[in-house]
Amino acid sequence: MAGTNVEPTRVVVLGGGTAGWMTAAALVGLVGSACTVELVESAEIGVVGVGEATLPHLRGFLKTLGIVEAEFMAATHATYKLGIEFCDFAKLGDRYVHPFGTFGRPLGGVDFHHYWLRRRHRSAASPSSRTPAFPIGDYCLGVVAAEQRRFAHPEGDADDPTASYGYAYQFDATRFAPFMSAWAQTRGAKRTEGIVTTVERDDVGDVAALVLADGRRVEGDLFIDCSGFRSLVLGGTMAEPWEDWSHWLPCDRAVAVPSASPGGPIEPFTQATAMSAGWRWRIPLRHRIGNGYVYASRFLDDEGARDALLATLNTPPLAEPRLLRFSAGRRRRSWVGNVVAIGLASGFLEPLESTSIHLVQMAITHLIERFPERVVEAMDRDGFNAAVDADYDRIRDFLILHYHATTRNDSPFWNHMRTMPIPDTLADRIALWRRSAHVPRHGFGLFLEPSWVAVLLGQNIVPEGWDQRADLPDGAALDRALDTLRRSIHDRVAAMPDHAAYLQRATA
Amino acid sequence: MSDGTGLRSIAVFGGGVTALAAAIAFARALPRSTVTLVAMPIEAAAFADIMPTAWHAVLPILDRLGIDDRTMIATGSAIPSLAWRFDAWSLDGRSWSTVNGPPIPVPCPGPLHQRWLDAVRVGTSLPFHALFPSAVLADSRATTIPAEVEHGLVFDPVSFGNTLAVAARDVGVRMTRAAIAEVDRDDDGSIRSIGLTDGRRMTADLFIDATGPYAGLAIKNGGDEEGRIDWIGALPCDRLLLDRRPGTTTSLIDAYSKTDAGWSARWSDPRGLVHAVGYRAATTDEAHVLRRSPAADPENPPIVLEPGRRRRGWTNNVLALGDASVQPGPLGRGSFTLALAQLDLALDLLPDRTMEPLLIAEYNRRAAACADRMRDFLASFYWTMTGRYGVRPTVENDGPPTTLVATLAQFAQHGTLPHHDDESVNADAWRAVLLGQGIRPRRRDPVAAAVDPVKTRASLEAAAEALRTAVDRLRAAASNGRLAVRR
Repeated sequence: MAGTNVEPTRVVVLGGGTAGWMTAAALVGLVGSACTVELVESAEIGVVGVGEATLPHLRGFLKTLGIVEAEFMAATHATYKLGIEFCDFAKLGDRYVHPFGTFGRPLGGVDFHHYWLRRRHRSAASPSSRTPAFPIGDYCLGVVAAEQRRFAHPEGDADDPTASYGYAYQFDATRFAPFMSAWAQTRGAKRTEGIVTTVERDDVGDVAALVLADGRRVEGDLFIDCSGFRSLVLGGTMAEPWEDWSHWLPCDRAVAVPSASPGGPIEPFTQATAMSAGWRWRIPLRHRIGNGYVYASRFLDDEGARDALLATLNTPPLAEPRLLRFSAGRRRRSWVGNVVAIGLASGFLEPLESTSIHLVQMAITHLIERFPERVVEAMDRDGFNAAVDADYDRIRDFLILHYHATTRNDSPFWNHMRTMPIPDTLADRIALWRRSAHVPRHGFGLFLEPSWVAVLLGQNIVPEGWDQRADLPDGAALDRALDTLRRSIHDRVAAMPDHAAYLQRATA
Repeated sequence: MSDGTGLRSIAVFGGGVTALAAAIAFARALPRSTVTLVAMPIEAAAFADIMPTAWHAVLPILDRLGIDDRTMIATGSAIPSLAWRFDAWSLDGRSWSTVNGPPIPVPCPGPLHQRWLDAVRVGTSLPFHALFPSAVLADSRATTIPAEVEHGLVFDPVSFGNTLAVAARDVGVRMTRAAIAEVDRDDDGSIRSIGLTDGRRMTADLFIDATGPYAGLAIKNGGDEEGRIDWIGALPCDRLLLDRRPGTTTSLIDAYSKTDAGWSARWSDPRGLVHAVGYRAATTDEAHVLRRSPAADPENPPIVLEPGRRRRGWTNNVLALGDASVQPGPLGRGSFTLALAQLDLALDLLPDRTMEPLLIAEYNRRAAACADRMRDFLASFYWTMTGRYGVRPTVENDGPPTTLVATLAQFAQHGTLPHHDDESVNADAWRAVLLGQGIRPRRRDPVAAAVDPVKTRASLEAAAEALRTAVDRLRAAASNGRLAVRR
């Protein structure tokens, strides 16, 4: 029978962080006997692993591997996440939640936000009227639940805005890689401890083996570079050039520190707060809070960042702050010869929208779709690289939007971000939105229409108009319908349990 | 947009069901506006109007227009279409059918077509389409179908047109009949007004050109073809002979076979069968075809088609729909389906009378992507064949579009399909064509490695057998020769 007498592809993964062990787990779990997986890591080399917030797609990844949510959450001290709260981005004092879900529901083929825009306009036109324009977040179950620190697993009709929402996890990244490691090793992934000193190449330039400090050679057909920012094989051996995006995303450092849990309610959301030279994250886990300040070293020195971060903590730090250096951009190609880079070895986008693990997951998906039988074919490589490019480009534009759509002029950093030239693809999107309240629709990609609507409105880019059909309902009837929806969402949330209490029950 | 800039008036030009559907859609979406339909004679090459069919994927669009497929069938305006069958067309010479809707549930993990490929590798002779109720029902020559079986529709243009005309009046569409005498344009090409042959003058915020390939409004000053992309190299068929056989046995499938010059087909039709012969004039001895074809008749000359699309379907205040915008060629009878997809997209974005250029550009981007992907799908029927075939790339620059080449290459390698924004054809429909045509992916789905193909084969064969039995029972119970959708 064709297909079964082929020798398994020998996969060598370099690096045992999140990317490395997710890749190893996915390959042993999904590709099974069509490959062997050997992962080379060294306890001497640290992993980046800061507090990590994720996207709902990770649930699909875990489910495909048959990983039970409660076990995974207990092992990684995870909490639930309904979205990200952005503070001070559009202007100081502003805040909004970008939820994993939509606002309201379409009516007569017209998306909800058009009706909301009309109502907002009506109440602005008559300040004395009794139709206050509630924030659009009031019409999203996930946002309201986040604001009230409540959570329960969604159940019910996915099209019902009073019943449906997406969720993800916030977990301790230093515990995630070991969890995936144990899972992968019990299913046949081989772990090899060692430090790579030389990368051996064959006569066509492909990698033949990794040579370790003690002289051992690890041979393979396909090498997956998960060595982090060092990009040892793709950036080093294969010398794949770096495409720099720091002119759009100038943040190049982060200082990270855990702090004690304050007790009481646990936020089912990640917080991103704009700072004078970047932004800081706050990720609530069960046992502590992850904090970090992502900043541009052009605008702020390390000490200043450290002090600024520590000043925001309202509970004691649990460790010395750690400094991370990076640069926004990616290797021109992620798959060269028989080397595939996944994770930071392939590229970096700051975690403003919690995309780090997602980029790893997408690369794994693209790789499995085009998994080679020992010999790499150019078509597979090109297809993979095109897919990775599309992922990066669309996320990049979405991140730039958060910085660029601002009226902040209180620091050189924000003056730069507000006035810098942006990619044409993003400028076109913003222009279409401003003119028509429409977002270009794409069938796939990470952040689809609802996310763009959430962030565009959240960043105070209010369209000049709305769909003409939103003018059809009688004004008072529209007000009533919106109020009913808002009330039913609030009632629904009021019946949801407290997030911290639910966590204890769900993972007990 | 909005607050006083909404469309007040829409003038739709065209004599067929495309124009009627557009008028109804706009009148329903914008009940405060005035929609006027100017009916004109239908051109023979206005394929969406002379032979309207709706592929399964666009039935929800019809539903949003208030057109219920069961009522259409019950009143004789349409018959369900279960499949297109291709005989002597594939690489291995086996007949196969297209599919609608989802396959039967099979207790095997992962994508069904990958499991089917596993079963093929261990010797099953089960065709892929045997896993789809619509195709199995089609094979059984059923003339009655259960409501839950996914199907497309083939309309009787006259009866369907009458139904639509009633619906149009119900939603307040004003109807008139005239021909275009003169189009008065601004410098930017937008239409100021249209003079009719009876002396009247039409003005509107939006003009819809559903006049067929004539495209009397869309073509600037009656002949500017700069804005058109020719598809003849990808869809090598520009002549069609039609021979209607009224009253003959009703069939719910379209059957195609290859001929020396192109293809011939028996198309299902509510009024009986239609025999069709498609070929390409430039590479065919036309006299020879005409001599040999039963459809040839001096009274019934071949219809001249020009596969291709306008670069921009929407310019300024003129929206071209159906064959006025895109002609996807006769194979698959996709014209009306594409017209509905364009209409749906126009209603999704619906610019107001400021005709915001960015919004119109977004319409054109997506409408073009959708049309191009349908072109790729239809081109796959031509470019996955071997054998003697009159329209093989004998003409320079002929060949499959690059996006189809990429689709075929990826499928031949892994059995997967590339992602396309605005994909107009669903994945199972694509797979059925590529697998039916005999393409066998070189690689086994890596995720399948753990599944025993012999067990998979047994599961699939058992499920297909159960489906066949169910279909036979249904046929036995069916009322004699009468067409109905069982509720």
